[in-house]
Amino acid sequence: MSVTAAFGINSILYQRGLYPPETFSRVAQYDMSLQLTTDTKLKNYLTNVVSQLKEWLFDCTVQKLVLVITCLETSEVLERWQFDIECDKSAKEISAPREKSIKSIQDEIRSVIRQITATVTFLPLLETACAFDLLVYTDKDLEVPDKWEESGPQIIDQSEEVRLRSFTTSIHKVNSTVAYKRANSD
Amino acid sequence: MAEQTNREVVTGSVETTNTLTNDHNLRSKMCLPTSQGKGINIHIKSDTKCYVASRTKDFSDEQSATETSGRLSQETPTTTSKCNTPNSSKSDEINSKDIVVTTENKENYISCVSDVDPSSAGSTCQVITETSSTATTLPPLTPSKQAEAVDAETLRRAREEGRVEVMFPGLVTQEGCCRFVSEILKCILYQRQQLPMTYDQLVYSQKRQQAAMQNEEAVAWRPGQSTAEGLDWRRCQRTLQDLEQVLQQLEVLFSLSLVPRVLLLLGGSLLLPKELYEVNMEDVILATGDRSLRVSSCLRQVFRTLFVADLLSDAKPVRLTATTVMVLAHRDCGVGWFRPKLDFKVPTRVKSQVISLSCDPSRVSGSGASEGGGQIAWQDYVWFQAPLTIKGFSK
Repeated sequence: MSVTAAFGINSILYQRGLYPPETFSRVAQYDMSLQLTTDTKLKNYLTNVVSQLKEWLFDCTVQKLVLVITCLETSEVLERWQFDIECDKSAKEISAPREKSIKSIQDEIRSVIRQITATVTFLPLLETACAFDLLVYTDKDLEVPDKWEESGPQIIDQSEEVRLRSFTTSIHKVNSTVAYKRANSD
Repeated sequence: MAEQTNREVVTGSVETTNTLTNDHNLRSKMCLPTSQGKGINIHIKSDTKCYVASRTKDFSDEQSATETSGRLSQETPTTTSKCNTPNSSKSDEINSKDIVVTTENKENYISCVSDVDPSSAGSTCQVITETSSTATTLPPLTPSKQAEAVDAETLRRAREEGRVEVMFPGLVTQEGCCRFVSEILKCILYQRQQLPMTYDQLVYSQKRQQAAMQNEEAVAWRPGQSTAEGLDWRRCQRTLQDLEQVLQQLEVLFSLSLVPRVLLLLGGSLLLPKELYEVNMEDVILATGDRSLRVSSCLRQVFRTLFVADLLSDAKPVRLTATTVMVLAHRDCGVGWFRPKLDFKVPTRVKSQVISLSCDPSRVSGSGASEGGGQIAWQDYVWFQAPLTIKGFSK
């Protein structure tokens, strides 16, 4: 799941043009070509985030992963990619989690990533310099790690939303949506 | 972009109140220092401004004027086609083979008619409902709820009828119609897994490969040589060339004739393809002068609708195959590249997925549409076939 999250985040950063395309390289994953950043510092940042996310996923304490894209100048939230994560805690407790083939999981993930790519065809152009934030919704009683802080939800004012396909693993189910600022009529 | 100096990780925490849930919303405090000379950063806290380059997809608009005018009538040509009236829920065709274009996992069917935002005082939306002595009139839906209802209906219709309808809020041009078909073709090829990346990304990769080869002191050319990104260079180049030729020739055809229907046949044969997609533009109204919608906005509308309808994506792998393009055009249009197929009939033994593009007829009068365009004589329109097929590849 955490690997999927990393690839998903990279795909969004690439497809939405937050980083120059030449700073990405193609790798084979899930039987498809995916973009991964080659920017060292960005890689390190994502590695740290994903490693923490992996712990939370294992503990079934994470509920959502949100990637927020904001206008650098105004801090206005322009886009909000939300991944709702449902964890089957009983699957961890019993000795045999629900059966799901790797191939089936990868097929579903591939479909979602292809959908992320497809959103470029209709999402509003990001015409200003943008930044992104990663938010994680966790259980309330979770101890906050040192390198994390509490944050608001960063909701978009007057947004439109579309839902992507869901995918499931043996333990998790992920529902994805993207909300974007309602565009003025052209 | 301005260069940024490195910043240390901020260790202090900022307490925020999450009014929406009782859970933690955690944000990473790990500050990503800038790359010197690149000006690339991630915004972590409000007091550490960072800059990120943005790259936008270009749906640049063409000139809005058009030479042709006329409304494509609602008559259908001689070949059989599905009759999808608003009240029909099934095709008249014999569905001997189902085409899986959706799975059970898509859960965006949102029932929201009854879920009304009470704070919709400022809403301009109206929902007309039947009233009776005992019925309760529903408050108007907010724009977002209305959009959700439309999306739900779009998904339902796509699943049940295999049809997606896109009505533009104005007139379009012939060049715009060509763009619609071209972009839909590219989208279908990618979404149906005939291309490993989008067309634009493939073109970009090809250029990078060519630049890399030119920079090498000695180039060893071997058949089947892979690119640095793992692509089969020759197959990629061949497919791109074929696709580019189809796109160029479509432009030529659209300049010669009205094109009310385009078929994309994936795999199998002309008689029995594996998958069949139709772009139907019979109800498109062409504009004269400069009274037409921007192509970019129309394209966004088309692709958002296709996305919501989930017509193209599929969790199951799709076998690589060849794609044939058929177009319906005037028999005397003088097109040379496409070959007339007078005996071609639209396959009826495979379920077609129809993408119907139309224009709002209420926008016609006084809006620069052609006057007296009249009915199109469909008997003068025949099917033409592209002389090459677009062969899918995955690596």
